[in-house]
Amino acid sequence: MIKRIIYGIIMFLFVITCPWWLTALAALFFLFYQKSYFEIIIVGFLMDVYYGSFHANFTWSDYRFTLWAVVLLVVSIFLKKRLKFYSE
Amino acid sequence: MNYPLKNSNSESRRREMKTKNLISFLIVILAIIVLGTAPIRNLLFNIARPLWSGENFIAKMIGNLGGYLGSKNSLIVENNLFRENASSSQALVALNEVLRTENEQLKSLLERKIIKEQSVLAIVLSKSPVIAYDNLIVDVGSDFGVTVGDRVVADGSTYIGEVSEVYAHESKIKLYSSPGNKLQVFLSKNSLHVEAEGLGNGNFSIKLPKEIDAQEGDPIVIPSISVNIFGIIEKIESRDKDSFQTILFKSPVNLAEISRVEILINK
Repeated sequence: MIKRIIYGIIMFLFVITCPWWLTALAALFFLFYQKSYFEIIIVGFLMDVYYGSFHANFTWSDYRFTLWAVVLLVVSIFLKKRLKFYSE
Repeated sequence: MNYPLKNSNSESRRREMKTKNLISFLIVILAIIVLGTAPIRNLLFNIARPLWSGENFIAKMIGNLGGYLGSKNSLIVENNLFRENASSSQALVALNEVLRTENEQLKSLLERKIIKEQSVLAIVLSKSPVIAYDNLIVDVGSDFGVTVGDRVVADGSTYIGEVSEVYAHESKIKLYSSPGNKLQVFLSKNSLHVEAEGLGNGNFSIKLPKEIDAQEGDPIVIPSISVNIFGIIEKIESRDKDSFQTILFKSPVNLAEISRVEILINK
């Protein structure tokens, strides 16, 4: 649990201080390093909150990082089930 | 008949994992709902602000370090070049000031009231390429009377965007050049109002019939009573078959190096 909190703080710092592509790479690393990394959706959402534009009328493009995070999470779950590396 | 015995241990572990995953997922959804609320977003910006300011300080320090490390000769050459540029720029600035005053006098002769807007100087906390969207985050918010829709200028007379979100001490500026963003511009040479589309990072495009005479270097302005410059035509693309030409223009402000902007407060 403490590890997850530390990783969370690291990712938060990445979101604020690093270019978006570096944050995306770090998130990808944690996604495959950890068994289940649901926090990636929060990371994506934070990037949209900080740097995206929130309008009164909802558009999917304003949540591009959140959507990418969901897609990556689903793909990682699918891959982890099939990779020997993650089997117990 | 023999049946393989079910491993109750692995079954229960799998069930436990599923429950854990479901709980984690629900926590994430709940966190997103909470993070999306206005007071929490405000709090998030307050947390990030010192880090952004610190980052600007570090970037400036690293930039200065480069100056110390540069060779003496290259610095002398650079210095001479800057001096030459500065003297020619001074003349242009003086001329610009004369023309601006004359323009205002002519407008007042025509009884057009020049609205002197109140402006607030803002320091850019975060910008492209740190951010994937074409937005800027600045250090003034509702505490300085900034409201959504306020226009933003850089270098004194170049419109670059509009305030899209306002927090207690920060604001978010959506740049006009955001991909897909459309706005009305004025081709001063042809006296033509046209629609320009943002391409990102200070670049725009306009589609016009080939008959309209536009040339590289022509200025583009925003329709306004006050003097401004919005962009300069960089390239004109057209094919023999097409009846239209695509005009590509760029803001004169280098958005990658922008550190201060002015927000024109709407009263």
